[in-house]
Amino acid sequence: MKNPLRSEAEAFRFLLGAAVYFGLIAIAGVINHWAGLAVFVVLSVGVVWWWMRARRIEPPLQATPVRRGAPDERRILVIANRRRSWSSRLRSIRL
Amino acid sequence: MTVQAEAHAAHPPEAHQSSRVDARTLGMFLFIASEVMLFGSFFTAYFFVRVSAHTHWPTAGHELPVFVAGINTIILVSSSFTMHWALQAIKRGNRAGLQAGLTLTFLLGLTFLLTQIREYSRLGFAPYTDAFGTIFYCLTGLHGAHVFVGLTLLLAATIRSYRGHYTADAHWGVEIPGIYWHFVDVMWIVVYTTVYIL
Amino acid sequence: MTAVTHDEVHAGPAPPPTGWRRLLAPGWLRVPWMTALFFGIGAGITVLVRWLEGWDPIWKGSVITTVELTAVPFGFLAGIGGFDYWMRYAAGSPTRPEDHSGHGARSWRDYFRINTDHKVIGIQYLVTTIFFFVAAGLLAMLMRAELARPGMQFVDNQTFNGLFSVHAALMIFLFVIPAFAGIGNYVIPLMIGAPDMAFPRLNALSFWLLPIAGFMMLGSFLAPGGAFASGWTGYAPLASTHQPIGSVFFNMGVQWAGASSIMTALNFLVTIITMRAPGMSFWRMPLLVWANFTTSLLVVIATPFIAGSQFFVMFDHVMHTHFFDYQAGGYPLGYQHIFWFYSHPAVYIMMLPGFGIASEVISVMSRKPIFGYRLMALSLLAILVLGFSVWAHHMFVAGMAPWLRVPMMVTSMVIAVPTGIKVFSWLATLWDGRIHFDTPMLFALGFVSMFVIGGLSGIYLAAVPIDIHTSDTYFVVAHIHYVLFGGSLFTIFAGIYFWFPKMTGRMYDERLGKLHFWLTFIGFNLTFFPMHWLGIQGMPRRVADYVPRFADLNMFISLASFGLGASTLVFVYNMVKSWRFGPAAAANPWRSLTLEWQVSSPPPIFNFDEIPQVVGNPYEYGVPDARHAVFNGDRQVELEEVPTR
Repeated sequence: MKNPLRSEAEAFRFLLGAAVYFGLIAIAGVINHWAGLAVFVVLSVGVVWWWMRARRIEPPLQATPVRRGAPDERRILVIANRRRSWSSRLRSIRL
Repeated sequence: MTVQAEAHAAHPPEAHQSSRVDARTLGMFLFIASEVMLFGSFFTAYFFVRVSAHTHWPTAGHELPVFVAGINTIILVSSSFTMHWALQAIKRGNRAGLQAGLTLTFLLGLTFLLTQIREYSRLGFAPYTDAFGTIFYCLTGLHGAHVFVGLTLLLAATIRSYRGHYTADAHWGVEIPGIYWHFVDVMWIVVYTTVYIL
Repeated sequence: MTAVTHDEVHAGPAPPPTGWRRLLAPGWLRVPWMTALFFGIGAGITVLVRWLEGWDPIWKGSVITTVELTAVPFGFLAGIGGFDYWMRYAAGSPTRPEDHSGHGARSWRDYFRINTDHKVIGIQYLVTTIFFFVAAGLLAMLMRAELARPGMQFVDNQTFNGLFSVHAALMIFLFVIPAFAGIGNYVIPLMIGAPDMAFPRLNALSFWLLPIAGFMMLGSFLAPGGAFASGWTGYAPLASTHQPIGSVFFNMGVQWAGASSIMTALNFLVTIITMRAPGMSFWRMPLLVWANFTTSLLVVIATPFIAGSQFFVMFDHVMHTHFFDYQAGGYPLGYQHIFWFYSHPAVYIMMLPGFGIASEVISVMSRKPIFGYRLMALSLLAILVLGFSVWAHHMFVAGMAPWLRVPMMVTSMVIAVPTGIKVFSWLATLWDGRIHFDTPMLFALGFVSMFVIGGLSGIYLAAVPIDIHTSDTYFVVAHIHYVLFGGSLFTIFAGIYFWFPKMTGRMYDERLGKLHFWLTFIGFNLTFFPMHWLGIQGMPRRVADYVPRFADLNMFISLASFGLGASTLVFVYNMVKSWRFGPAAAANPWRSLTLEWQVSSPPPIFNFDEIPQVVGNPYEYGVPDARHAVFNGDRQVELEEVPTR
C-alpha cells in the first residue's frame, strides 16, 4: 500500500483534496440533504476509483547487500526457498 | 555482558533499510492513523447522540457561530499553505523563508486556538447543559488539544530554525511537524463540516 | 537506528554530575521534586481557572484528582529523564544521540533507569508485568477466600466489586498485553536482524508509562470510597454516576497503559517494516514477528477507541457531561458499542502474540517445519479483519437492536475458522515429529489443549440462545479464563522459559520448570473447569454472596485456586534462583534456526556484529542443509542474488 502521507508535500495535497471533498459535500448538503448524500456517494466512488488507479507499481527493493569479496570470486547460487511437496519434504526429514 | 559492552562501546551498526518508506514518516503516519481512530470514537459518540435525538439538529436553543467558525477555518487552512511554503523555502536553502513561514504558521494556529476559546465563552451553553453541549465541546475540544500538540511541535521547529538548524538536505524536523499540522487541518475540516454545517 | 538526523549537532557524553547537580541529572533524585513541581503546576492551573471563572468551590477534590492523575505522571517521567532528549532537541541545543551510555545494562541498577536498549526494556517489561501478575493474583486469592463459603466473611460488597475489577484490569492492561510487548521487545529486533528498535527513546518512554498505570490502578484502593468497582468493563452509566473517585483512577490508568501500548505497537510496526535484514521478505519472517505485526496493527487501530470511551466516562463523572445520560439526550448503550469495538479486538491483542510464541516453540521442539506457514500468517490477518466485526456479541442481552444479533453471531462463529486453521496446523506440526518435552513445550502443548476448550465454550457463547442463558454467569468466567489463562498465560510462560537462556545467559532449572507446569496445569483445571457447571446452573458472576446449594463446589474451587496461586511461587523461585545462580546457557540450547539464537546468550549490546543475510525459511527443521541465515563469516555458503518471493 502506498503511504498517502509519505512527505509533507503529499500531505499538503491530501489536505487540498480533503478541503475540496468536504467543501462540495457541505455546499450540496446545505442546499438539499439528498443532494449532499448524492455528492458524497459520487465523490467517494470517484476517490476510490482514482486511488486504485493511481497506485504506482514500484520495483521491489534489492534484497541482497552489496557484493562482498573479490570481483573474480566464484560463487554458487543456492536456491533455498524452493517449495517442495509436503510428502517429499516429510521423507527428507531426519527424525 | 560487561566485556561485550566494552567491545561495542562506539556506535551501533547501521540497520539494513528494508523498505522504501522512511521510518520517521511511517511512524508519523501510524500515529496519525491511531489519532484518526481516536477522532473516530468521538464521532461515533456524536452520531449516537445525534441519531438518538430524533429531533431537529442542532437541538433547540443551540445556535452555533457558523460564520465566525468559517473565518476561523480559513485561518487554519491558510496556515497549511504557509507551512508548505516554509518547507519549499528550506528545500531551496532559503532560511529566511523557512523562518517566516514557520512563524506565520505558528501565529495563525495560535489565532485559531484563541478564537476558539473566545467562542466557547460566548456560546451560551456548556458541556454539562445537555448531550448536544457535551458532544460539541468534546469534539471541538479534542481538536483544540490536537492544535495545541501541533503548535508545540511547530514551536520546536521554529526555535530550531532560528538557532541555525535545518539545511536544504536535512529538514526532517520540519517535515514531520508539517505532516502532523496538515492532519490537524484536515481533521478540522471534517469537524467543521459535520458539527457546524451539516 | 533512527532519529540520527543530519541537522543535529552532537555533543560528547555528559560528565557525571557531582554534589547538588545530581539533583538536576535524570534519575531517581530528580523524580521527587519534579513530581512535586508538576503537582503544583497542575493544582495551580486548576485553581486559577476555577477562580477566574468564578466556579465554586475553587478547590474541588474530584477535579484536582483528575488533573493530578495527568500532571503527576508527567512529572515522574520528566524526573526520570524520559523527555530530556526531546527538550534539548526542541530548544535547538546540542543533543546527544550518539551517547550510548544509556544503552545496555551493566548492573542491576541500569534496569531502574531510562534505558534505550530493547533488550533491557524487554526485561524491564517482563519483570514489571510479573510483579503486577502476582499482585492481581493475590486479589483473586482474596476473592476466592470470600467466595469459599456463602455469606459475607472478609470483605463488604463494594470492596469485593473493587477486588474483581482491579484484578481484571491489572491482569489485562498490566500483565497480558505488556508481557507480550516485553517478549516482543526483546525478541523481534533480534529475530529480524536489527540492532535495536526503530525509535529507542520512544520505546523507553512507553515502558515507563506502564508502572504509572499499574500503580494508579492499585492505588485506587487508597482513594476515598475505595477502588473502582464497576468491573474492568466499566459500563456506563454505572461507572460514570454511581462510583467513588477511584473510578477516575481506572479511567486514567487505562489511558496511560493504552498510550504505552499504542507507542510500542507503532514502534514494532516501523521496526518490522523498515529494519528487516537483507533477504528477510515478509514470507520469511518467523511467525512470532508476523503475530506481533498483526497485533500491532490491531493496537494502533483499536486502542484509541478505549481511550475515547474512558474519556467519555471520566467527563461524565467529573465534568457532569451527558454522553450516557438518557434524560439529557445521551445514549447509554453507546458506551458498550465503543468499548467493545476496542475490547473485542483486544482479546486478539491478548492472544495473537501467544499464537506466535506457540508456533516458535512447537516447531523447534518437535524438530519439524511449521505446518502451513503461509496459512498460519494469513489466518492471523483473517483474525485481524474479522475481529473488528464481532463486538456486539458481548451485548446480546444489553438491549441493542435485535437485528444486529444474528449477523454478530455468524461473524463470531466464522472467527473459529482461522483459529481452527492454526490449531490444526500446530497438531500437524506435532504429527510424526520428534517431540522434546522441555518446559516451554509443555506450556505450549498445555496452551493448545486448554485454548481448544476455551474456544469451544466461546462458540457456545456466540450462539444467541445459549448466551442469553449463560450471560453474566460463571460460565463466562470459565470461558474467559480458559482463553486468557489457558491461552495467553500459558504462552507467556512458554515464551519466558523458551527465551530465558537468551535473555539472562543462564539456564533455568528444568525440574522446577516441569513442576511449575504440572502444578499450574492441574490447579488451573481444578479451579476453572467446575465454573462451567456453576454457570450453567445459574450462579451469577461479580457477586460476593451466593445461595448455599453452590457451597461445596465453591469451596472446592477456592482450595484449588490457592494451590494454583502457590504454583506461582515455584515459578518466581526458579526465575530468581536461575538468573542468579543458574548454569551458563549455550548460545543456542534449543538448536533453533531463527536469528536470535545465532548470537551469544545474552546477545552483544548492539545484537549483531554484522547484519546477517537471510537465505531461507525460518522453520526448516530436519531438512538437510537448510539455512535460515548466513553471516559474513560463513564463506562457504555465501550467496548472491537470492530470489525473494
